[in-house]
Amino acid sequence: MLNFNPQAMNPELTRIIERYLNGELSETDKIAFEQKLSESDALRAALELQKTIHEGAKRSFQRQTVKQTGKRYHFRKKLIKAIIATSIAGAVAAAGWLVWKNTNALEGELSESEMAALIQQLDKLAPMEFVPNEYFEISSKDTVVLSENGVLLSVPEGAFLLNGKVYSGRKIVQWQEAMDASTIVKGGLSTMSGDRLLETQGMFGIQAFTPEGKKLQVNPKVGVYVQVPVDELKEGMQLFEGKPGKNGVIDWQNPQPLEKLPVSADMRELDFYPPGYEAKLDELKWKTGKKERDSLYLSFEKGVNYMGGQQPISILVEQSTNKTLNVHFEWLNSKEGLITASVDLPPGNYIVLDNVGNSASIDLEVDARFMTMLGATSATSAKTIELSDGTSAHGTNEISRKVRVNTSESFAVIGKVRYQVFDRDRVLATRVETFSLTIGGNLSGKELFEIKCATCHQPHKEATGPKLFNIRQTWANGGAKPGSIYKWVQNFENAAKTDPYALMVSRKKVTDMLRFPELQHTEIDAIFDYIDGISGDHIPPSKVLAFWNPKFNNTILATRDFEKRMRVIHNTCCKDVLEKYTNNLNKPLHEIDQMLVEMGYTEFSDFAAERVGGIQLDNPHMNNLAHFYDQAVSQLKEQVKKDKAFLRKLEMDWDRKLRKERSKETDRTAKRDAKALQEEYKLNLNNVYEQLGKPNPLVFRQLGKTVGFRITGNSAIYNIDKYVMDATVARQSTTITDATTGKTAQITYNDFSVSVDKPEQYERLFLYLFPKELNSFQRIDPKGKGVFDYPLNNDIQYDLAVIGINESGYFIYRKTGLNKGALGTVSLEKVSEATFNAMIEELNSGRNKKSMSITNELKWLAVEKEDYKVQRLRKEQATFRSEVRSAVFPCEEIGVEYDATAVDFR
Amino acid sequence: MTAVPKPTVSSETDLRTLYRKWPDIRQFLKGMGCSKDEAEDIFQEALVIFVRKQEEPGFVLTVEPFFYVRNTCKLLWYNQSRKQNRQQTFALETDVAAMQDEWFEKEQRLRKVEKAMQGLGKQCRELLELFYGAGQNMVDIAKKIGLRNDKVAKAQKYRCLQKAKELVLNDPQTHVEF
Repeated sequence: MLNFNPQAMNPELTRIIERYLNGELSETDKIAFEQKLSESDALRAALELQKTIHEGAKRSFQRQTVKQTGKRYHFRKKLIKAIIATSIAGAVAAAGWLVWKNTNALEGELSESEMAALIQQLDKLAPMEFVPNEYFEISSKDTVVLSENGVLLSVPEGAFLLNGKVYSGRKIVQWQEAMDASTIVKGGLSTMSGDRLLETQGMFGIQAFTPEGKKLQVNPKVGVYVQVPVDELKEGMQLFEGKPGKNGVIDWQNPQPLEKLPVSADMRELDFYPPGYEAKLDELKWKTGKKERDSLYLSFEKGVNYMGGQQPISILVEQSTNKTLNVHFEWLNSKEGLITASVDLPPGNYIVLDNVGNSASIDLEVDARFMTMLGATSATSAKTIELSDGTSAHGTNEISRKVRVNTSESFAVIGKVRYQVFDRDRVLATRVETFSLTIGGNLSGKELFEIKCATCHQPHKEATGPKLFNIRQTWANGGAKPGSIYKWVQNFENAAKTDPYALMVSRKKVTDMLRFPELQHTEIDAIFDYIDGISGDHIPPSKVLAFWNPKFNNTILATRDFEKRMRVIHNTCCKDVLEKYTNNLNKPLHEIDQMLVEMGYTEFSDFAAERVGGIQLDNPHMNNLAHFYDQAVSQLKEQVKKDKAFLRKLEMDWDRKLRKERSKETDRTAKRDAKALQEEYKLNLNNVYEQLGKPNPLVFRQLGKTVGFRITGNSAIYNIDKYVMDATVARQSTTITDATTGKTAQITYNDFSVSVDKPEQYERLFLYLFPKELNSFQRIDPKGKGVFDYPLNNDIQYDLAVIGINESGYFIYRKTGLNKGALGTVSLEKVSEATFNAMIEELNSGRNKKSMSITNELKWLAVEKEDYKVQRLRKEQATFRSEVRSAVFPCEEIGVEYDATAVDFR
Repeated sequence: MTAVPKPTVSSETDLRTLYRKWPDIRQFLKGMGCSKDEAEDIFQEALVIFVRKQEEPGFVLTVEPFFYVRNTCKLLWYNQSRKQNRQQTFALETDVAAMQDEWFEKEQRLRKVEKAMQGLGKQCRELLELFYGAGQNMVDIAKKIGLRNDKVAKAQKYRCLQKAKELVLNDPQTHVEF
């Protein structure tokens, strides 16, 4: 105390100096004072001290101003932060705006100094005296704010009471946090509960006030949620209530287990896809848009009826009185369809068609509200080909009737097919067979299963027939040919003929499988999908996409916590697990986790231990959401149905076109082959008669002349006919000796061969022969890989074309005027479709005047060519889907593609 | 009566504008090894200095207020960390070092006085602040701090001054100078 000046402490002196400094001394006193001042160092020091104190007080005032500016700044900053926090948390979308609005309103209502005064006043009320305070202004709506240290406060509507009643106005929330050791020590806070020392992860004080400074109570029914960031969640951490004890020491009482607040997020930012789904798509470089990926995901929905929508496609033929009849319904467009009856006739029997429809008809008994008949029965096919030897080539006998369907509901049709059969000798009596059809609006896999299969099959148990669960997979694993299972269902014997696996299955059971030729492969898939789906062995995409919607923001589903759980849910492949969450939106997550653990899903026990809480929902809101969820699920399923029906229609349209072309082609080929044979036979026969020097009886017959000739011994004209026919059919050189005259006639067939360079690059290779002497042309299939070997008639000059087709186009090699030889390996030249057609037409028409038309043949080739592309795309699509599928349904065995599009039914 | 200039509206606005730069200043000081709590004290002190410097007759601001405050912060932190024997990881620019003039030294002494005066009771401190800082009259002050009338307030003021003197003189940080 070197400079201690006792004078300075004299209160009287203080007063005088004060008056001097404030200019309150009289002139004389002032002069006297200044006189003394000049004489006394001590007085000067005392004056200086007092002046310094004035300055100090002023400075202190200025510091208060600065500090209040700081408080005000931090307060505003909190509000902005709160807005950010709200939008991050994605709580109520409008909350951010409301808070912002309130900030502005605040400025209008409370001035700077009033606010400062309020804060100053509230500071005094803080429960922890030496811990800094933070303030949040919170509107009446649900709000989430973030404190300086990252503590998340969720203040729901009605969280506070004023005088026992729910307070809904604006409130100022005062928040104190002591989270680190230094703040706790500086704040003089104890960590004692009674006599026990507590390990703390933070102490918090929260109070709320009205803008007028009245204290609010926490509403015990609603509560305020507090989420504290911790480095690790220590087991057994509990929440204690602080009771101020004596000497300001807080005693911590009434421990409660902690609940973590779920981390809310906007639905648009969350990921609920099966794990690996997106990674797989990225790997395959598939489209990245959420919309596209959603819709692809949805397309994997199982067990929906593909045929639904506005177009009723399903059909059931329940009975026909005779096994020779098959009735079948096919859509021509969205309204009109074709009922076709095909009749299996024994060889030699046929239906004569006079194109008036007298000899065959389909009559239907059906309510006009459901279906009207368009025109009369037409018998478009039923072509029995009569060959020159009097046998008839087997043809399908089809009678069809066009109808219009007037409803989308399912309805029954009773029908009668009437037809008259002929054989070579007589007309048989008219046959009438009845059948009944159910043309169904929405025959689902389930309905189909019940109607068609349930008599003999069960999903999970062996019955008369084998269990059907995962049957496609079982077959694929057993090495069945792709698509064989569909053939099997339609006609098991056909499948057994072509597929060794099917043959093996056919021997397994004593009872034969029934035939279901009327089932389309999509229908068969629908049945299998239904069966595979009823076990609940997968998470249906619709059930995921239905809640993945902003409507579910602010629920336990729109949280990072549920996002984590969803990955595990996908791996359980059990939709019941998912439903536990979607059906219990009002429950805390950890309760649901626990339920699942009790159900045996122990993988949820880690989640249960996290004790993540729930998000409060009032009941009407929850009911709305539950309703919305159900609706969304069915809407999504409807969507899949429509999409699949659309795609299916495209496929069916193509398949129908292809089938039509192929069936026409089969007819044509049969006819052409027959004609070619006939023509060549005639040619050979003429030739032979010429060589033998005999008149050709056929020529006479044709000319209508009558000639008599002698029959001697065993020589008979038909013998010569027969020899010639045999030689023509076998394409073998033959010498015919006339027993009577001893003359011989020679039919010569020369070896001819040609092979194609790089045959593997063509989907199909044909050799077309255009004989100058005949009207018909011939199409020859290769014998081996790209090798054609076909004896040529020595008496005919041939033009020829070797053609190849593949997806990329047409290839051709031409040669004219030959009847023998080994052309060796030739390479085909690529040409456009137009050039190709022109070349073939030229070869065909240039050789003789009455050449058979080749236009339809070219049309068929074009369709076949196009089909390679269609099939390739289908195959690619199937491969792609089966790859993605393994990510979508992780519990399904990999490598099995159930999609009907994968299978080519030729 | 020597009127103590009341902080003008413009200076209040200035303060608010300047305070918005707090994150920048915090970052700036953090880069020099200053903790967050220390940084805000330094920032506030620099703002006090800025406000007071503006009241100096003949003072003309030659740089943006923000740069003035930032340089002040740097100087303050330089002094403080040197006093705390901390490792200096930075050096002062000449213009910043030049700020440490007589006036600045005086301000630092005043800061100590101000600190010592925080030992006053709340009522006393408010009374002196309002009188010498805000320049309010005794009638208003009496009303504000809950005293019966201006006479009581005036008497109280003397008592407070007396107490303040005691604090300042007994404070080991300040007494040496008086």
